[in-house]
Amino acid sequence: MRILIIDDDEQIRILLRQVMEWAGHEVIEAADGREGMHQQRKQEADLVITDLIMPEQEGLETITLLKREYPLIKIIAISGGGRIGPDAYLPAAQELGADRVFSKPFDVRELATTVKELLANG
Amino acid sequence: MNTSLMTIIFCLLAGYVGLALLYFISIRPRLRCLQNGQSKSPIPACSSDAVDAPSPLAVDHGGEASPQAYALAEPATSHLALQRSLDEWWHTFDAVIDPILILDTDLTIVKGNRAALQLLSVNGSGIEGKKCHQLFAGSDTPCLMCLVQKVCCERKPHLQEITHRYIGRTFSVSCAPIINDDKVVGFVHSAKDISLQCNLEKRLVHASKLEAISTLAGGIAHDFNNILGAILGNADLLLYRLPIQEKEEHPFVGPPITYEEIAEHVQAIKRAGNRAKALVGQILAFSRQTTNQRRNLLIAPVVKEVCRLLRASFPATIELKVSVAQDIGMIYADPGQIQQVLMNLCTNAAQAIENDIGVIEVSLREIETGKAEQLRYNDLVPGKYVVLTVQDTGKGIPPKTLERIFDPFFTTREVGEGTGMGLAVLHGIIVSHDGVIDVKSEMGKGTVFTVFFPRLPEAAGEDDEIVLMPRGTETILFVDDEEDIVKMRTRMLSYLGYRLLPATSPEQALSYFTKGHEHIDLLITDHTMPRMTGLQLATRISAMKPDLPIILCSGYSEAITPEEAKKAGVRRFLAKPVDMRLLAIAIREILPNQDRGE
Repeated sequence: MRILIIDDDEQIRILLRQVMEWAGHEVIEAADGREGMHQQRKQEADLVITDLIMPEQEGLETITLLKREYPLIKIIAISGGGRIGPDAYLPAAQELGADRVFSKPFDVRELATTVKELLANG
Repeated sequence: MNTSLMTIIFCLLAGYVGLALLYFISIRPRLRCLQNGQSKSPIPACSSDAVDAPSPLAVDHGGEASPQAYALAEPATSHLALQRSLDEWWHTFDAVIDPILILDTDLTIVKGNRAALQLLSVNGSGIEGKKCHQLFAGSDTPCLMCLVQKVCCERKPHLQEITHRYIGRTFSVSCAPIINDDKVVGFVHSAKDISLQCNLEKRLVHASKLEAISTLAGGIAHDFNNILGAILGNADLLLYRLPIQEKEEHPFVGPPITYEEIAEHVQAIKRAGNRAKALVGQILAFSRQTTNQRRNLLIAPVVKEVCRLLRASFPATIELKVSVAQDIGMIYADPGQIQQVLMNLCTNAAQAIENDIGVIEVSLREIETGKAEQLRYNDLVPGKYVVLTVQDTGKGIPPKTLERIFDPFFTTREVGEGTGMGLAVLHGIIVSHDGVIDVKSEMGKGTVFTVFFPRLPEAAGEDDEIVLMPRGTETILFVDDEEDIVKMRTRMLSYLGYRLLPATSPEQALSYFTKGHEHIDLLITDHTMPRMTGLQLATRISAMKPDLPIILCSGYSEAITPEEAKKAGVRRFLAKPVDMRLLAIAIREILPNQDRGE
């Protein structure tokens, strides 16, 4: 399966790539929501893991656009939070259509298991 | 004798406290009646005492110079009129709430008003006849920052902020010359106590900094969570992929881990750890910084970094757009204060955005001011500037509020929304950076804050690189009563190769010379220290070791004349806070050349 990882933090992208590749998936990356949408339109991933706070285009907007253009796509939102804490962003992400949400730091095995479940149900 | 005093009182205090009208309308005509033409002074000598007076400002230390003393043997009506005018004058003089002294050229107090007596009197004794420096500074010699020399040379009033540790107060001191027969015959010295304002200013800056730190907290939390994500994630991957974990059930299907991959994960953990270390350093640098630490600074990276942290601090519905032009030049600035300015402007912008939906645009660019800018910004001197703009799509600021927006304590925020002190403090910071701040706002559309910082010439280099500073191996005695400064400077100068002898008191510094165990090549001393100033220390050490070069580090408010410095053996002044690069250069300029690395 093809996974799109959207995060402005390069080290998180590298980590997620390693996790997903070791779980047997193909990975494409983007550093913000705008680039993520561009990659999705070009390569069409089966599942998107997106950060929420990013420059250029925020994760919440990206989730809205993804769900509008690709209603069946699976989305996992991840967030390190900010001024009002991750708890405030992640429920909003779920309301906008994210299938699962994770607070950073997260357990990579749990994430990989969730990816496997979501793709199996898709 | 007392006529001279009267002369001073009339011709100067009248002007000083706004009594010129009283003098010209009420007193002068009456004095003219008394004038017999025997004196060139503006107010004639009216007694034989005055004619015999050795100095225009001589003081009768034995007697009180009361108004009655000037009521001379004249016709009763003139006498009474003069008496009344003098009474009025004395009452007015005493009613002024700031301590005012009339000094002769030797700085002896000729007269002081009631406020001066209350401030300076020791156990109820009088102050007249005493030296002003004895009472203000407990010193037998004039204060180092004394204005009289400047006032005497330029023959015009001067104003300066001076802290007198002896009486524990800070004053805005004004000193004006008393000129008679084209000679300076004394001074009017007024000391407005601004200790409270100074303390408030410090507290305002602190409160503003706390507010900025709280703004930063969200961004820091976000960064730390990312860093932890990388550390824990890589550690987990290692654990899951190492053969020891093979029996556990996991979703990974990849091949066994290789040594290269193990090294890769460990490197990733290390990188994340270093990021955390840098972030901690950044937070500490900001929170610890208490004094203005200006240096040649590339402002663009500072702006980008703050915006990165701010982005995570704002609600997701507030879009933060950042535009930094290429090749922005350097400014002379304190990076911590630049962070504070940007954070406070952005926090204000975010608070102005209703329902947390809107856009904040931060831009940094360079301009060369022309006529248009000068017309628009009155305070802007022609030249090159780095311009920081923070624009929001918030509710805008009403015109009446806009007029007062930089006033201390002016706020439109509700209790619990913040201190409201930010903009006044920012204004202070920007002015101290020789900058200009401007605000434009339109109700319902938004607000733009524009800050101009003078751009440094192209040749200016950044001050960060300690490795590029000139080095040496001589022995330096470094004296400062602040232990932290001694520690920091000795460490930094040690990096440059010098051997450091630290001293946290003038007495300790002197002991190095009296014991004579150490060979010392250079003395670097703070000026303001308890019991003995840096200048006094320099004088004493110069007496023991006349050829020893001395660098004196002094605050701006502690004006020391070049003559005083030279007399004390001081070769170089450095303004505090001391710039490390300037200090390194000054040391090498003073000490004889030797082989050294650059």
